[in-house]
Amino acid sequence: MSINECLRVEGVVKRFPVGSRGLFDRIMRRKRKWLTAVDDVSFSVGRGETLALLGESGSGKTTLGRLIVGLDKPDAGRILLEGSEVKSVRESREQRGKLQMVFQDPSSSLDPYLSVEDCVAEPLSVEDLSRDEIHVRVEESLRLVGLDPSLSRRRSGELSGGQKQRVAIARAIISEPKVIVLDEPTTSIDVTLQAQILNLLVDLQRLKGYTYVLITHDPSVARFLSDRVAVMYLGKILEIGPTRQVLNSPRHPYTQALLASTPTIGGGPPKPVAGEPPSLINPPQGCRYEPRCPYAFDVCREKHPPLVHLQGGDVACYLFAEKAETLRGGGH
Amino acid sequence: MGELLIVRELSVGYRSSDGYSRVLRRVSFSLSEGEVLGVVGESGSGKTTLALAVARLLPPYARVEGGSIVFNGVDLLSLSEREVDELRGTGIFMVFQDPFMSLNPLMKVGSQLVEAIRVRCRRQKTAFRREDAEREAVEHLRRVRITDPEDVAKRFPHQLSGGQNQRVMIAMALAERPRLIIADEPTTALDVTTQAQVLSLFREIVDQEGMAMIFITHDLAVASSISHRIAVLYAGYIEEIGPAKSVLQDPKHPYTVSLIKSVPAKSKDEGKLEVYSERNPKDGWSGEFCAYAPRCAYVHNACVRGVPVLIQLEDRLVRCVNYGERYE
Repeated sequence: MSINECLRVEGVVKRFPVGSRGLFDRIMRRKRKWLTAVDDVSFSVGRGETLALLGESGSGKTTLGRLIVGLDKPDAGRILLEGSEVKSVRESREQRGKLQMVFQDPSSSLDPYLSVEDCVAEPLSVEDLSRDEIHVRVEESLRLVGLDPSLSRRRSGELSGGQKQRVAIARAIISEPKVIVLDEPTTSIDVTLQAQILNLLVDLQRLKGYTYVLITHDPSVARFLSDRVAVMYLGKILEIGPTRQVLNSPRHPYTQALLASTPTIGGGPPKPVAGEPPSLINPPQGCRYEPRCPYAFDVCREKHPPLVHLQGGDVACYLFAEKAETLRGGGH
Repeated sequence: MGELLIVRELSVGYRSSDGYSRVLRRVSFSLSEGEVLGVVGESGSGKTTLALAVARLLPPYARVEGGSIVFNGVDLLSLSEREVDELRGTGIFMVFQDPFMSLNPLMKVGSQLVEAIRVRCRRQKTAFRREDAEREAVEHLRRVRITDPEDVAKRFPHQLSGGQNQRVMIAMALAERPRLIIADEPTTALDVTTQAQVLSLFREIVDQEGMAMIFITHDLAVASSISHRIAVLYAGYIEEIGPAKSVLQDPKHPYTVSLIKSVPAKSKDEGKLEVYSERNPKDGWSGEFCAYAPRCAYVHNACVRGVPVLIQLEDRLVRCVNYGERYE
């Protein structure tokens, strides 16, 4: 572990059972079907750093976020927070406050009938604090996110979308966490409010040194907020590296396609990627992206490529593997 | 080119338990065949109401206060329900964010397409033959780049993905051959790569079939990628309307400027993002002056003297006193 490492994810796998297995299936000894949402993922995040998990739905980014904060348990591999293994929220009270998550839609993550004070104070329930102490902490937290502490008696349901997301952030920071997982923090609010929330997240990080794991489908949000980007597809990291490198000179064919598909202001019609995203239940045998990849060759159909270290980032693609180079040189 | 749709001075309001609120305010625009008008705005700007009004699908608590919608020479607001039904089947086609809302969950995709072809044949007074229609249905599915169209035709909507269903909706449009497509946030629920597929298909059928389209979205970048012209809606007013390129590259209205600038285009190391007032659009506005004034960075006395008119500025219209102090 390097001195600056805060969070480490090592060979993490998470599977979910698919459908129900009826009596007939059991008599016939049919195997249960499984979906691998996160498939052998490893990375580390430095203290005060922001890593973006960029991907489309089904890429496993949200599942990974839930594993990091201990809302789910990995089936294999482990997650380390400052060198000690992350336990599920039920197992470890003291770890709970150190890992926090801000969810996509504050209207559903906050109880609309609770007062703002109760919403924000919720993570403190594991600490033994007096009512006065809690009140002071809530006020401080609200001030940090730019809300007037007088809002604390209002019900969260009465607030605007932007205010609700600030309350959700106030709740995440009240327990002085080390790592905050931000799950699409600006997706459900209007564009003109997005900039304020993004600025706020940067200010808080500079002030408090939080480590962020940002889950997003939007390259422009990743570009603004993150130091490094991991591009995910069907449970795998296909490319990881410094944000500038990955978003300005993407190497993996999927990263290139994703960026070419993203519409830009003043840009013309986006260039669509061919094919449908494959099924998570029956993922491709070889490289996860092979069925849609315009550069696919024989070896891509055999085995998913490992992440290889290149200057300025890691890429899981045979186009960048030495082995693939020799294979292609040999008559393919 | 003849104008297919002319909307003039359209005002719409909603009755609710809290009283009456006006949602569209004297909205005027026109649309030619083969043209895509992108309508952009934040939530509450009235963009969906505009779509529903043109499709004559407004809810019962809505009231059209005034104005006219002339489609193909016919004033839609004067039509009876029955005449409107006819029109919806033949002239105007609506695509919603969620394709499940429009597709019949109990009918196979192929049969729904055959049904659409039957409607078209009745309108065009041409012979309808089931076998031909079935073949045509598969052709439409292939044209919207559905892989394995014969198989998909035999499936129900719930067996398909959101992106596939949205493409089935485009195939329905191809089968019905409407003259106007109204699409309300049709790609918002889709992933980026699927969105790109659907956007390029929309553009393709508009270009090839000469249909007109109103494309409603909150996402300026999406509007930019598909529209010929863009209308920016705020609090029910068109604040700026003109060719997509000039509106996006050289916005004139302060609101359009803020919309464009609020898309993050840099890294946090290059400084903070420009921030606009967090005020609720309806706070601090009485309805008697510029709707954007309470949030506008360039607000001055002239802004609160009255509601500014749309002023012609080169190739576009802008509702801002900075380009001339004229009021409604």
